[in-house]
Amino acid sequence: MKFLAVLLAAWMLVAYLAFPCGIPWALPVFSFHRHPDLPRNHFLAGDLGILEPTYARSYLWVAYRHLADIGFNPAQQEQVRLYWADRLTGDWDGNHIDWLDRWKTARARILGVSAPKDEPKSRPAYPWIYYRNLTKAWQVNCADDAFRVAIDTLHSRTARFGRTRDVNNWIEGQEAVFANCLSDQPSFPKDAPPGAPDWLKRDRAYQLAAAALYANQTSQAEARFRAIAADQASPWHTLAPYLVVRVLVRAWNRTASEPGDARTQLELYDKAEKEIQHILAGPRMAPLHGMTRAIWRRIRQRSKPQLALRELAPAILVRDASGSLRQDIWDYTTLLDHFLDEPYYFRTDLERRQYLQERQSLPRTDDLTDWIVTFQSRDPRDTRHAVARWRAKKSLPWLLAALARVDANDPASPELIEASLNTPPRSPAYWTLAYHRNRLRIERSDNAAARAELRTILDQPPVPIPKSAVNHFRALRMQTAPDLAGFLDYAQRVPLMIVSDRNTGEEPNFDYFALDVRLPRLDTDSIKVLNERTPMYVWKKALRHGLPSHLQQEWALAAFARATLLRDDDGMREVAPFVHKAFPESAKYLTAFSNDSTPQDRHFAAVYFLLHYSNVRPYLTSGVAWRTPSIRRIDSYVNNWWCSLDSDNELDWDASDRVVRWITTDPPERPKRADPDLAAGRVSFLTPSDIAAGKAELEKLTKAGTALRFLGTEALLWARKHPDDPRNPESLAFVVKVGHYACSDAKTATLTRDAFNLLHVRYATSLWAKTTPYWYR
Amino acid sequence: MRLAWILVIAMGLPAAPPLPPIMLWAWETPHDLRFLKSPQIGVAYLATTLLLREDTLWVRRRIQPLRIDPSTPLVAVIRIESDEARRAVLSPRQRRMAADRIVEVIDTTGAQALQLDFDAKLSERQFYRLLLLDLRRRLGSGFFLSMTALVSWCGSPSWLADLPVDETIPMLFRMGDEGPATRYRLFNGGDFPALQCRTSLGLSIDEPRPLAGKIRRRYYFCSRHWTPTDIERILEENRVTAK
Repeated sequence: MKFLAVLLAAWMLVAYLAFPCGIPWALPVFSFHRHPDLPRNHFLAGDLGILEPTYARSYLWVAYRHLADIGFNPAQQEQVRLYWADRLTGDWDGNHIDWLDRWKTARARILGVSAPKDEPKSRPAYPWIYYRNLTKAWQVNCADDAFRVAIDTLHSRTARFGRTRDVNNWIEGQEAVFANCLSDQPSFPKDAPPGAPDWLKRDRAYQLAAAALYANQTSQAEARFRAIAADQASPWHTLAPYLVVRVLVRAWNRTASEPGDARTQLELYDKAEKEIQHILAGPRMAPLHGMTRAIWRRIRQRSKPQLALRELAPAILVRDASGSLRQDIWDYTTLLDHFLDEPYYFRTDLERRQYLQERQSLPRTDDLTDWIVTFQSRDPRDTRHAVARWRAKKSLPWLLAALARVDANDPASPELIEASLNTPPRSPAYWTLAYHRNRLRIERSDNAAARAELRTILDQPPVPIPKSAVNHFRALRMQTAPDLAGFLDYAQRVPLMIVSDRNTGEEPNFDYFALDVRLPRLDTDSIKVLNERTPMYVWKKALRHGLPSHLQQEWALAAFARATLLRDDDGMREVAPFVHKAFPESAKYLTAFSNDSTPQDRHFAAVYFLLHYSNVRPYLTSGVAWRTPSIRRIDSYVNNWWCSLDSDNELDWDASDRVVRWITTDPPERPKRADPDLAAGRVSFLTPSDIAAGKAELEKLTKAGTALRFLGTEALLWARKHPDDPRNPESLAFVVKVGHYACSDAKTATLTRDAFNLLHVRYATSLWAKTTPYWYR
Repeated sequence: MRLAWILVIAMGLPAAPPLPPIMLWAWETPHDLRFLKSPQIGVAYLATTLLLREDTLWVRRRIQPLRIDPSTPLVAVIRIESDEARRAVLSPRQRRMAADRIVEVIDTTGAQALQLDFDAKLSERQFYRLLLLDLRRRLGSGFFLSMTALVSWCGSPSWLADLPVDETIPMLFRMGDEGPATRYRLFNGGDFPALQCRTSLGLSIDEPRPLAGKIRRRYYFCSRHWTPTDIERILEENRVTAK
């Protein structure tokens, strides 16, 4: 108890520092990975920008149609827009009507009883489902149509026969049918009473068949619906054949979902298919054709996906066709996903192996599917395939795919570049081809040619250029910059949006950060080079370039931290004025830089300063510098000071391409650290000796270890050598803070302990000792 | 042993919950875990998702089958999300609806233990706190109530400190920017400052995990289906006899 009281008092004493808790990390999006620039209408109209293989497949289909000069008429565009809305919302015309509630209201009205109270309540997606303990899941047994048809029938019978005992009997029968929707206990209506009118007998026959269907007594349901189909006098006889199909499909579905007899599954499938073909062959059953085709498509997709894909691919490329493009593209992309994205669920490892074998059977016999798969593939063999297809067809889709895939060493790259030059600016492929053409030029070190075209693209684009594309081209231009000034100019890019690391779909209106999206920021390509292969003298030079103030701030602090860790006194002296300009409050810590002091004095002044600024790191971060509003506020748990530079992804963890990894690979891949030598090799302004010097400095920075190790060691050394320095109590107290809030380990715990002990032994009467009652491992 | 419990209680740590040391999360995919027969392994399955939208609540119940042996210890998980586009008002009525639905799920499923999974933003924490208090009142002090936590909640001081839950599970995966510092701390013998975060851990089988050095319950997440091979690896990692 005493322990708890002391703990509470200690917490209250140190509460003068604000401890904000963590918020989602803000990631800039310089170009979209998952979808094209927003709004999507421009893309739908043919402004494809720079096409990415990471786009969702429906976008690649849209792109293919434009590249193949098929395009979309207005009605088709609307279908595509509706499809995208379906994907985003999952609604699919969903109006979330509570049909069960509507049935109850309609029934109550007829029976003259109180209707259910109309009060706001929580809304399940499907109210009429029941829980099965066997599977620990709820089951959707009855579709909307069941209730809709029942309500319509009730109104029709009431209008024709009035509110009679027979209609009440009908209602009772229907209630018994719907009881199957809410429970797994079978429920059947009673037979029609003796002397019941014919309409009630026939409706009862239908209700009994429906009850059998929902009670999963499929043999009985099949027999009953067949009998209804044969009864010409029944008002349900035209619908009944379709319902026979529904019964067979339900039975097939249940066997397909459970491990069981493959022969039974096949028999049920064949039986269902036979019934379907019988319906489709009958002109008198024309009203059933649409819904029968829909159900047939469902089962074919599941049981014969290759065949279903082969049928769908040409259907979604028809120019000016009316019809169900919205449904068709959903089915097509679902099938592609089935083949290309490993499902989460396999019952056994054997099933998984079988799936992987089936994956090999993906039909690429149609150009669209072949193109999408090739464009997205990470298999190097598909590069050869793309080139071969281009050579055979000389079509724009294949030119784009081939050019996007080859590297500069590929023997086909000169001919592909040459072919791309003939594409006019109005072509939907223009920007993609221009991008890869210049990428290849840079890879071949033909920087002059690349620079010339990129200058025109960025300064005087021949057609409007999407913002994502601007950033892509700036990235290429940055690589060709012959000097630091050019590099810095093109390293700065304006993000399209700022998202949180949870917004993997890059959707707008999902996040809110009080940040100005219009400010230019640095992307990972420049950060990588600067942090890991750029020597200090370049860092210092950059401070004179005239960066925007928000970048200058972070740059000055990172450069100062680097110089301190490198024990570069000249570096610290050169950078200190920039730190002071960015943060006038730093003056009180850095007085040693403005008077006649020794290098050791200045070094400790720098250490003392860094102890007070938890958000300063010896490296730049991509995009958004600091999570908390002030660079000085300590987060209650993480993101304070720095960890060892070789730990986890300390230098890469904020990379926006981490988001790409999670959304484009299945299962999500842990991002690998980008190769700094590769990154440095791509830029022109650093010489080989610069890169070597930058690498050596990084090694020294890494050896310095965590912030606690470096700052703690330095602070302790200073306090022991200069015991009368009035800054010591505060300095040691901050070492304890660093030990508490920043990266630490069992070894650095001794530093914290030593700082604590020294604080309390030598400076016991200081305010800092009093306000630092504990140290933390 | 008694002395150990006295010390645990005196330190304000929650008492040991009645669940096995290894728990598998069964999320929104079909699972057949009938091969699990060890009393050392239980399953926490996503039973329902509640979406807070404007002043109402949307309910998405589990429809993916989960097959388990009847002897497997089970926890029903309810995930709470808030609609980013149509922001929740977080009213008392909305909170009551959420509590009603949660209690309904417990009644329907017969769950003996409940876990809530809600990545509450700062503005939602008061709502969450009050919801937990409501639930505790309705379920009683003897009902096992657990919650997941973001690692950023496990600092000191922590808003988790006085919540009426029996277990808090910091999730050591998909951590985003907290990842490097958190891993560094835990992989090098450190621990969370918040005491509530020290009794259980949430892990993923496809991300690095600290060694099972300290006694705490471990929850495992798998983005695909669980296989017997996964279970063997987990048991080996925890050095527990399987059967």
